[in-house]
Amino acid sequence: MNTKETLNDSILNDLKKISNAIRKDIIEMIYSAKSGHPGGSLSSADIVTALYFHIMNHNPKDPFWAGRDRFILSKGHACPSLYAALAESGYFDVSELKNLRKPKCLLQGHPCTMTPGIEISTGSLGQGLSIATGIALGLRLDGSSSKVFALLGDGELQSGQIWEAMMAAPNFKLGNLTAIIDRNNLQIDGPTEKVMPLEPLKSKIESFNWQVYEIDGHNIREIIQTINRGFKITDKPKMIIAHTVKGKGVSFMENNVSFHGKSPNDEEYRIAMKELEANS
Amino acid sequence: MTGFGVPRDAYGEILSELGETRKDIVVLDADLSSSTKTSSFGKKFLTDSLMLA
Repeated sequence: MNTKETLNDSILNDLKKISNAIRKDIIEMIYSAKSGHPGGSLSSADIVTALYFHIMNHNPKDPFWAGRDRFILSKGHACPSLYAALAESGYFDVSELKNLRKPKCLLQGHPCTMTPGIEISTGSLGQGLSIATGIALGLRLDGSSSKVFALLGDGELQSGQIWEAMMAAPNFKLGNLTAIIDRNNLQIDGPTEKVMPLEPLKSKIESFNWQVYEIDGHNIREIIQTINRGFKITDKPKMIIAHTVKGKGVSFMENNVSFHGKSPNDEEYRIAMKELEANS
Repeated sequence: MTGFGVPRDAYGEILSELGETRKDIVVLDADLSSSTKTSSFGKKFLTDSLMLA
C-alpha cells in the first residue's frame, strides 16, 4: 500500500480521521486489557499514521514482501498505537484489538514477531536504534531501495546503547534510515529534564553528524513533509525530534505522567471516548 | 514486615526500613522507582538515592 499523491487537504483530512480512529482504538484496547500504556501511545498516534498511511511502502496482505519499508517501534510499550495502525491498514481484523495482553493472544503487551507486520520484538528500551541501523546496513548491502524508520521514546535516549547507534549510523552514511523521537518530555518517573536531562538535544545529535529536524509531532502535514525532505539527503541518517504531548487527544491524560502506564477506569474511559468521538 | 504480599512492595518497604538504621545503603535506580518501589526509600533518604536513568 502506498499513497504517493500530492499531499492535499482531502488526503490530510483522511489522515486526521485515521489518527483519531487509532486514538479511539488505543483507549478501547487498554481499557479492555485493564493495563497498558496510553500516554506514549497517544503521543505517537499522528507519527504512526503518517508513516503507515502515507509514507511507507508496505503490503498488509504480504507482511514479508521484500520491497517493504521497515518500521521499528523502539519504544515498544507504545505498541497499542502500532497495533491499531496495523489493524486499520489490514494486517489483521480490527476486532483482534480487544484481545490486547490476553494470554495466547496475537497482541502481546510489547511488540512480538508473532504479530503480522511486526519486524522484531522490542520494548527493552534503548535497543531499537541499533536494530534499525543494522537493518538499514543490511538492506544497503542487498542493494535494496527500502527505507527504515525507527520510533524512539525520549526517555529511552538515556540508555547508553542509543548513543552507540548515534555514532554508528552516520559512520555508515545510512541515508536510508530515518529515526523519529516522540519528544513528549515525560518518562515513567517524571519529566525527562528532571530525571536525566537530554537538552540541548538537537545540537547534541547534530554533533554526531545526523541531519536533524525539529517539528510539531501532531502536525501530520509537517511530519510527512519533513520525512520527504530528509529523503533528498542520501549520505546521512535523519533524526526528527517530534515535539508531542503525552496523552494527546484525551484532556485528562495530556501531560499527565500518571497515565504513562495505567488503564482508564470506567468513568475515565467514557469521558475519553466522548472526547475522541467529538473529534471524529 | 511479615505475612503475604506483593514482592515489589515488600522490597520497597524493607529497603526503607533498613535505611533507618543503616548508613551504608545507597539505592540506585533507572527510571523505574515507581515500578520497583524504590521510590519510598528515595523520598525518605533523598541524598542516599540516585536516579541513573
